[in-house]
Amino acid sequence: MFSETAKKNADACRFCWMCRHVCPVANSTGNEAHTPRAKGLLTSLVERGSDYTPDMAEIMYQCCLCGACSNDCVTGFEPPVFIREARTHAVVNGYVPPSVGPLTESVLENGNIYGKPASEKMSALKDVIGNLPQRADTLLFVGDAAAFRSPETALAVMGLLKKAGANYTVLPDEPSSGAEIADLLGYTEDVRQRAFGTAKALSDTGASVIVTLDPKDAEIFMQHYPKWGAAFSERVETATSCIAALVRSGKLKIRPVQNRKNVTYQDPCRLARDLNEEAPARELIRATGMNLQEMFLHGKLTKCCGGEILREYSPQTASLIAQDRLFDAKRTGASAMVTSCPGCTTSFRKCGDRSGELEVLDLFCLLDECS
Amino acid sequence: MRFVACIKQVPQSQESGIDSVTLSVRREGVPWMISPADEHALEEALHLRERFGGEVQALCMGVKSAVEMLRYALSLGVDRVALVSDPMFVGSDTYVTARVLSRAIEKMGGADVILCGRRSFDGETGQTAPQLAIHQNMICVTNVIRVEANLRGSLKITRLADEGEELIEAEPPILLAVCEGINHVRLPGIGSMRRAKDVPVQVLNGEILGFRPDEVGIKGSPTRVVQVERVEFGRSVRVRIEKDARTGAENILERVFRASEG
Repeated sequence: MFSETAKKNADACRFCWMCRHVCPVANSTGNEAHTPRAKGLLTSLVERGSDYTPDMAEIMYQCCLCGACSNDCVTGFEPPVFIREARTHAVVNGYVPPSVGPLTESVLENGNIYGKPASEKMSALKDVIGNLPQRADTLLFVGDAAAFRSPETALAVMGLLKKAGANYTVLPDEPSSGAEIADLLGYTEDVRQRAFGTAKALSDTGASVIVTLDPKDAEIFMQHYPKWGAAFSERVETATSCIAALVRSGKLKIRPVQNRKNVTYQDPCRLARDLNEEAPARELIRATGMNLQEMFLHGKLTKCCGGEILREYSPQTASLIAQDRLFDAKRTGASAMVTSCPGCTTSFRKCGDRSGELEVLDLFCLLDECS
Repeated sequence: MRFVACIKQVPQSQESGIDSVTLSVRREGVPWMISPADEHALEEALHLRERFGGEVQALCMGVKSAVEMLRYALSLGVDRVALVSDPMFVGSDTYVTARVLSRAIEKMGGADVILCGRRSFDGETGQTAPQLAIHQNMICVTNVIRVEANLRGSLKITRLADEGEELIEAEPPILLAVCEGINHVRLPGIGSMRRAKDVPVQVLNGEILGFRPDEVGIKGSPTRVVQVERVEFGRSVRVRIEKDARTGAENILERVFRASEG
C-alpha cells in the first residue's frame, strides 16, 4: 500500500523513542499512539499484512506535520512522508475521520480548508488590491491563512512594500498553492494539477519576484513545484527575508518603538526547518528596538503552534499545543511573543494566554506601526 | 488510439545482488521501483492519450510481486494492466523477453504506439525495445527526448544522436524507446486510486501465451551468462616520500604534471 520511500522511512527507526519527546501532539494529548514512532509501527504493521483501519486513519490525522520528529532523528526517520501517504489512503478508502471529512471536501472543492468559495478569498483585501497595478516587478502571494484568518497581516505587508517604494501587485483572484491540500490528502496528482494552474497564474503577472507571506506556500513553491514540472522562472522569497532586505538597503526605515519590551520569537516550523530561515525575522525584531529573549527550543528546534489545519478539525489538541508553547514563551520573561506566520498568529491568538501576561504580536503589523 | 507502456520492476538499489543459481538480478524481497526510463515511458503514454484520446495499457513481465507496481500504474491513470509471469520465463534474455512481450501485446488487443524505456536500470542492455519493434513489425525510434503530436495524427519525435539531436516525423504504428527526463512523472491521483481498486490485474502465463517451456526462460534464450563478476573501481597509487615532506611533495607534483602532460 505504501511507497518504497514511505516503507523505508517507517523501517528506519531504531527505537530510541526520542521523537516522542519533541512531538507537540503526543506531548499534549499524552496518548502513546500519537507519537511519530507509533505511527511508524502502524505503517509497518500494514506493510506486513494487517488491514489499514479507520482507527489507524484517525491516528494518522493526529499530527501537525511540523517535522520536529524528522529534525530530531539521527536515523533519517521521516514520519511526515508516510503520514501523508496514510492520509491519501484514508481518503481513497473512505476512512477519513468525521471531523476531517468536511475539510477534505472543502479543500477539493474550493482549494481551501475554510469551507468558503475561492471567489471569497481576497474579499477582505479587495479595496487595496483594486488600487494596485495588474503587472509589477514583485508579486505578493498572500496565501489562504492570511486571506481568510488574518487579513491584517497581509495589509501590513502591503503597507510595508508601499512605504519601501516597491513596484508590487497582488492577484485579485489568487489561487491556492496546494500546500493545505497536500497536508490533508498527501502529495497526489490533485495537488500537482493545482500547482500547474497556480504556477501559470503567477507567471502571467510578469513579476520577477514572488514574495510569499505564508512559509507553507514558500516551501511548496521552492521545494515541490520544480520537481513536479510546475516551476516558474520567478524567484521566490519569504516575506520576512524580503522585508529584511528592504530595511537593510535603506528603502524601508524602521523607527524603534517607544515602549521597548522583552519579546520572544516563534520560529514557524516550515520557515526554520524546511527553508533554513531564522535570521531575517530576528533582524527585523531588533530593528524595532525590542529586546529579543530566545525560547528554550528555537530555530530549527522550534515547537509547533498547533497548526492551522489541525486546529480546524481537532481544536482541543491544537489549543493544548499552543498553550504549551505560550508557556515556553512566558518562561523567557518576555511580555510578548512575536510571530511571522499567519497560521501561528491565528493559532496563538485563538488559543491564547488566558492570564493576559503575554501579548501575541504579528511581526508585520509591528513593523508597519514602526515605519 | 491504443498505447501500451512496457514497464519493468527493478530493485531500488543496484546492490540487491545476483542470484547465484540463475545469475540474474535478485528481484524477490528487495525494495523495488519502476525502472526510471520506463516510468517516463508510462508518463508519455498518458500524455499521448490526453492528446489523441484512446486507452493506455501497462504491461510488465516479471515476478508475481510486480502486481503491486501495476496497481501503482493504475493509480496514475492507466486504463488496463497485465502481468506476464510464469516460472518458465525465469532467466529469459532480451530476445525471449521481446518475443513474450510481443505475444502479450497481441493477446491484449494490439497497440498503435508502444512506449518503452531506452534501457532498464538493472540490465542496461537497451535491446528489448528494438527487438519488440521487430516482432511487432513497427518503426522503432530510440533515445527519444521529445514527442509532439500534430493534427494529422503523426508524431514529431526528437531523439538524441551521437552528436546533437535528430528530428523524425512518423505515423503509428510505432515503438518509442524514451530517455529518462523526457517529461515530469505524475503522482497518483485520488480519483485514479479509487478507480484502481476495482480494476483487475490480468495475469498472462506461458500457457495462455502459447509458449512451450523450451522456447522461453534459460532454455529458450540464446544468451548464456557464464560468470558474473563484481568489478571494483578505483586504483591504488603508491608514492614513496623520500627523506622529508618537501621532497615527497615535489615528487607527487612532478608525477601529477607529467601525467597531465602525457
